[in-house]
This record gives sequence, C-alpha cells and structure tokens, in this order.
Amino acid sequence: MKRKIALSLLLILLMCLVLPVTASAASANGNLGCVTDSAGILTEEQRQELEDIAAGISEKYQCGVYIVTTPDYTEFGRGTISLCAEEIYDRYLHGFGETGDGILFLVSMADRDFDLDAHGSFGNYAFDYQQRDRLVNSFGPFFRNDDWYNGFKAYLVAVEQRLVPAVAGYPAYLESLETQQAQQAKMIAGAKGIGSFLVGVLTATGVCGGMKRQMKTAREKDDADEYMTPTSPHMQIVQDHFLNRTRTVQVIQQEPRDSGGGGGHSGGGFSGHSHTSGKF
Amino acid sequence: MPEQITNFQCPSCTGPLHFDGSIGKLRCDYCGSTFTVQEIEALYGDKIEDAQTAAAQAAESAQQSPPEQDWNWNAVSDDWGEAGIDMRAYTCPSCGAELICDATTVATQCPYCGNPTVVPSQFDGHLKPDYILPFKLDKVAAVKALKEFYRDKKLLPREFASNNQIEKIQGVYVPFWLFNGTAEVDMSFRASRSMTHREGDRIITETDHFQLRRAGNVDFERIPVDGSRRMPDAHMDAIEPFDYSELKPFSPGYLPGFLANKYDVDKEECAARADERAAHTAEEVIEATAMSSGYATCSPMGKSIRLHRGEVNYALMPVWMLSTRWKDQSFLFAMNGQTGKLIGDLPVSKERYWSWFARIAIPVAGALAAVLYFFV
Repeated sequence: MKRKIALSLLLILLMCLVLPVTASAASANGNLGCVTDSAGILTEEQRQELEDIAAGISEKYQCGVYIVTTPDYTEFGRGTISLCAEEIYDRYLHGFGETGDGILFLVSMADRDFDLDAHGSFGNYAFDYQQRDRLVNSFGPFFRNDDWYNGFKAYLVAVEQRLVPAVAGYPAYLESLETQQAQQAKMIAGAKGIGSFLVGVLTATGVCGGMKRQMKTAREKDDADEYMTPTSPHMQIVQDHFLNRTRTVQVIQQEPRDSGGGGGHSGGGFSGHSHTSGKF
Repeated sequence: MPEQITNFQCPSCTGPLHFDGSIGKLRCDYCGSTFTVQEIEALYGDKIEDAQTAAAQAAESAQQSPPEQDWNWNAVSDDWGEAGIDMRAYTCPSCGAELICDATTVATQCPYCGNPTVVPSQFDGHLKPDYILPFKLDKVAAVKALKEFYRDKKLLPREFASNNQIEKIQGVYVPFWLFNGTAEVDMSFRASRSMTHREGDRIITETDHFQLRRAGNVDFERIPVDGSRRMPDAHMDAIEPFDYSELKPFSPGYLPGFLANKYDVDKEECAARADERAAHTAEEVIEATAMSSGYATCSPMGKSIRLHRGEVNYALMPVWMLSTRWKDQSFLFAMNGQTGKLIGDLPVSKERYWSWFARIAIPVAGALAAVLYFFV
C-alpha cells in the first residue's frame, strides 16, 4: 500500500514537472488557440465562445483570426506593442497558407494598448490600413466602457464582414499583382539593358579616348617637374593654426513599424507584418 | 658677297667628316678614319679663326670697295628685298659653290658636293653657345624609332603605316635657352579633419578646422625653352627631358653632318615660358606639402609666387626631325637625338575608331547584361 502511495506521489510529481514543460513547448511550437486571455478579462465561457467563432472564421476563410490579451506587453521586453505582437505571431501562431495569413488582435491592459497585426499576403490584402481602421471602430465603443466580451464579438463580426469580399477579390488582386510585377520586371529588365548599354558605351569611349590620346603626343608642357633640384623644396614656414571645432548630430532613422492608430499599410504582395496600434 | 665657311675634311684623305653620335667622334665618309672633336678642333682651330676674320674683312670691304663697272648689271639686282634680310650667302670651300642659307644657319650641307659645312662667324661673341649635347642616335635609329612609333597605334590608318614614306629626315642642333632660378612660394589653405562616433541613436561628427600656411623655395636647374621659331614648341617640349650630365662645352666639331641654327627667339622672350613652367611646378610642390599633412580636406585660399631668375645658358640640343606626307597632309615628328624619345601627331582612322568602339562596347555591355540578368 505504502509502495502504491509512493508510486502515485512520484507520478503526480512527474506530471507536475512534465506538463508545464510540454505546455510551454507546445506554446513555443505555435499551439496557441485563436483566443488567449492571459489578462483574465473574459470568463471561460466567453473565451470559449469567442474561440469557437474565431476558429470557425479562420477555417472558413483560411485566414487566422487571433485574439491575445496580456496584463502588460512590456513584460515581453520588446519595446513596442507592435514588436511584441510580431513576436507572439511568429513564435506561437501559424496563420494559414504559405505566407501565414492571419490577423492578431493584441490587447495589453496595463496602459490600455492594442495592436492589430496583419500578416501574410492575403492577411495584408484583406486587412490593409483602411480595413484595420474599420476594425478599430468596431470594438472601440465597447472597450471604452470596459465591455470586453461584446467588443471582441463586434470585432469578430467586422473581421468576417471584411473577409467575405476579400476572399472574392483576392484572385483578381493577385492577377493585378502579377501584371504589376510583370510590368516591374519588364522595367527592371529594360533598365538593366539600358544600364549595360551605357556602361559599354562609356567604357568604349574611355578606352578609345585613351587610344586617341596616344595619337597626339606633341604637347606643350606647363610644368618643370624634371628640372627641380633634388633638394627642393626648402620649406621655410609650416604653420597649422587651429580655428574652431564644429559638431553635427545625425539621428539614425528607425524603420517605421508602428502606424500609431491607422498609419501603417501593406504594399502590393507584401507578406510580412503590418500594424495598426493605439489606445482604447 | 659670300661669307667664309669651313668644312671639316679628313686629315688623311680630305674626305668630308661627319660627327658619329654612336662613337662620339668624327668619322670620314670615304676612308672611315675617326677623330675626336678635340683633335679636329686643334687642327681646324686656326681655320675657324681665319674664317671668322675673313668674314669680318669681307663685310668691311663690301662697304669700302666700289663695284666694278665692266658690264651693265642694271637688269640684274642683288637686292633680295625683305627676304634678303634673313638670307646669307656662303661659298663652299670644297667645290666653290655658293650656298644660300637662312640667317640663323650655323651648320648645313653643301647641296652640290654634299660636304658638311660650318659657319664659324655665327658663333662670335654672345652668339656662341655655352653647351652642346652631342647626337647619340643616328638616322637609322630615328627611322627605326618612327616605325616602332607606328606600332601598337590601333587607330592609325593601315595605309599610313604601310604606304607612308619618310619625306625628309634631318638631324638638327636646336638652340635652347636653359634657365636657372628659384621660385619663392607662400600659400595659405583651409583644412579640416573629422572624427565620427556614435552615441545611442545619434551619429556625432566633430570637425576641426585649421588655417595652414606653407612657404618655401623651389630651385630649378636648366629649364629648357627652344629658341628657334621654326621648331614647334609642342614638339620641342614633348621630347624632353634631355640628360644634362652629357652636356659638353660647345665646339663646332660636333656640328658636321647635322643642320644647326642659332637662336632667333631671344632669352627675354623665352623667359616667360620658363617662368610659367617654374611657377606652376613650384605651386604644385608647395600645395602637395599641405595636402599630405593628414587632413581630410584641404583647399588653397591664397598664394604668392615670386620668381628669382638666375643664370641663363645657351645650348644646342640634338633633335631628329622627320616629316612624312599622306593624303596631301604633312606629319612632323621629332626625336630626341640623345634619348630616342619620339613624338608627333598621327592621323586617326574613323573606321578603326568605330570598329574598336564596337569591339569594346558590345562585349562589355553584353557581359554586364548577362551578369545582371543571371546573377542580380
């Protein structure tokens, strides 16, 4: 009996040790659900309901719809909420398709910050900066009244409303993108051709100019270098007088990543992260 | 009235003597005997003096004695007009022919008997050169050098090199003025030196500004300027430099076999060119001392150049002049008779120019395009 108790205790201890590691490993491998409420602002029922809605939308439109709440994004040590969102997306979320299409809605409760991080080619197409502004309008009124559940619900409705036309318009968009890329490729090829031609012409002009100069060797001299005595010059005054010091400061420009509530947008075919962040 | 001239004849066979640069001696054209310049000088020293005296007496008697009146010479004028001012008549001591030469001619060759002749009176007093640089290279070397010169000239018309014949080749002792002097240069500059470091997200550049002054003297020895109007300055400048270590005190013994002219541009006129060259080099040299002082930027702000002219020497330098004709155009080449440096302007074949242009431009453009298409 004592042996069974001891074995049971050992098993419990092992489970206690192994499970968090597994959970952590699972998280690290990208197994977060669609709705993760680390800030604890939703009841489990509310979270589950939102999880079901978000998962349904994600599957239906093949575009990950994620909500993550956190007590304070600064605990991630990434400087800005946008960088924090990118970290979460890249490490714990997959998105859909080859480019990891999806949108992450990160809410940080400490200073009431949010970030909408669109990712992937389709994700950026569907949720460009204008669409992200619309999403902000969907949850904003609820969040201002601390009505988190209804805010998230309104957000998910707005997301689906956007995804319907986005899915329909995406092939045409891709086609236009291809055309655009083809035109760009043509322009680049043309520029390469013209550049090569110009380099060839300039090289030939230089070389032939050198050959032509060899044909004219009778030139008047304007110097007398060869007749300077070996001991020259005899320096008599060598003065270096300090006048003043000037100081210029150049601020290193950081690549803008935060759109600050509606600024950022994705370019055609862009499949990285694009953000809209702000406060509620 | 013809003036007296001297021709150096072989003491052994009385054949004409030529200075042979390859051996540095005078050689007899007929028997092949060779003599040093000093030997010939010793032998002909009296003759040269006699010729100079005779020239002076001839000039005097021409003024004193009235012309004979046996014949009516009215229709025949010895007035050469303005052209006569620059002409001189000499009698060849070998064949008695009358030679009409330029007033500046010092040494030439009789067109009738071919004997090299020297006009000693042209070296009187201040006209006498201080130095002479003897020819080291002969006519054969000059012709060879010209052929070499044509080689590797990718834009030269093919027919020019193949059909072109040397129209005239002449070894000439060209009169040069050699200027010594010092250039006193005083220059000021603005210079700066920068240091850059990073403080957080800022790049800080600190620049120290300086005012520099550099002053010094630059000495020049024997800047050559040709004193002959007939010699193109560009050709004479381009065959420089001469090796002055081989300069010899002047002696007419080096002249036989070559054409020689006395100067017709005086030293005052030539000094301007020497000054210009000296000032330019002196400025560059002093500027270089500032530029090499370790500053990132350095630009001249002001300068003062004073030239102190020193001794001027008069020397005869050896030059081979070669002229060719092609498609009714004359091409003149000059070769330094001491160093063999040959210069001259050549015609450019348009066909060959564009052919080379295409041969360079097309592969370069093609290769670059291929690299850009496949690797970029």
